[in-house]
Amino acid sequence: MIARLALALALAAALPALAEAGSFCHDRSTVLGYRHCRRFGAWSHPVAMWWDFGATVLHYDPQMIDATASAVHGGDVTQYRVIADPSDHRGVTALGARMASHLALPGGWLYIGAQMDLAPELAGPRLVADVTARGTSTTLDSASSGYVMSNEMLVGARVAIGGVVASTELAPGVRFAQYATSDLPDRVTAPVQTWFVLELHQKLELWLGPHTSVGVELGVDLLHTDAVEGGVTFGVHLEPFGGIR
Amino acid sequence: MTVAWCVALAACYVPHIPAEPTGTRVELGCVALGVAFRGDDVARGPIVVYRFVNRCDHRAVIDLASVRVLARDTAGREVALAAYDPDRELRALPLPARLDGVEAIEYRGLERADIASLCVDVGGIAAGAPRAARWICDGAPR
Repeated sequence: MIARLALALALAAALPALAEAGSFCHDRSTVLGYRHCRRFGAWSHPVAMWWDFGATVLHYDPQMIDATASAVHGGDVTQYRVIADPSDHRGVTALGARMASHLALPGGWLYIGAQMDLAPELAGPRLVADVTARGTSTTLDSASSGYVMSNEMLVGARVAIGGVVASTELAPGVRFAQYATSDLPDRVTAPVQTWFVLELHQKLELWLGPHTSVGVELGVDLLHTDAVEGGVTFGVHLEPFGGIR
Repeated sequence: MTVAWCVALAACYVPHIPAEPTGTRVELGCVALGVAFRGDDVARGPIVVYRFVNRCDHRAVIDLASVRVLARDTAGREVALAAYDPDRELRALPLPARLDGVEAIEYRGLERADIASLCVDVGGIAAGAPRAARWICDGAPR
């Protein structure tokens, strides 16, 4: 988390130079051959920024469920390890909202960004709670009322093909899941788990107008290939056609 | 964290608003071009400033290397001038849809003080448009 914040701040300090080269570089003349800050043809590769808003669906294998709940009983902390019932092979499926912000680097085809998904769980397997302190286990009701949240950085490349933009993104990040169960005592915190993801996204965007687009995206977690995700988004672009058409 | 990212990225962004071309206006297919002549404290030769806007929803190729420049000196002789491009950057490049650009180029071959008039043929700037000579002339640029 701290590393990501540091990276965000570093980018915040560095990107103005990319967005407007003159910020740190001052030429005596704007004439070609006499200037050094801005190369000829900078207008051909504008810096572009856009946002996506939409719906997302996240799905992952029940074997990835490895959450922890804890309770304090008179000063003693009891850990509950919560996993999927081995006999229940239903994956976790969550449907929710997505927000993403992108910044194309000079050159136009390479971009960076950030994406957040927040999705209530629609379906999931029965859960089993191992009460570590007691050496017992309890089968819980289905994990179908929790939520999954993803925070990812994006590094992508895009290309315009007619009226469509095709993109490939690498998205390292963190996913957080909370599973709501009714079988654990009220004083026990809801089981939660956090894990790293490294997703590969494939995306297609269709222009609705110079500043708007609609996109579909599919992705797979390269670290847990049973985890897939998808999204349908509405894009708002500051530069006409994202500066790429 | 994503919100922080969005704020950081937005704070870095310098929005670009296409400007209308200034100077003598020429329409070349998708490209609206403005041409202005001026001098400069640093450059020795006359300077031509090109401002261009792509009005189409697709890319337009801007070829500033195609511009022909003719100067007439005070004795009435016609001299072809060449763009000053020491780093050999001048070339045709695509201008994305509905965006604009500006370039200022010095032309050498005659001292500015000796130029009585200057003409540029911009007919080839919009590479996708039909090629026809489009001369724009000015008095002595200072």
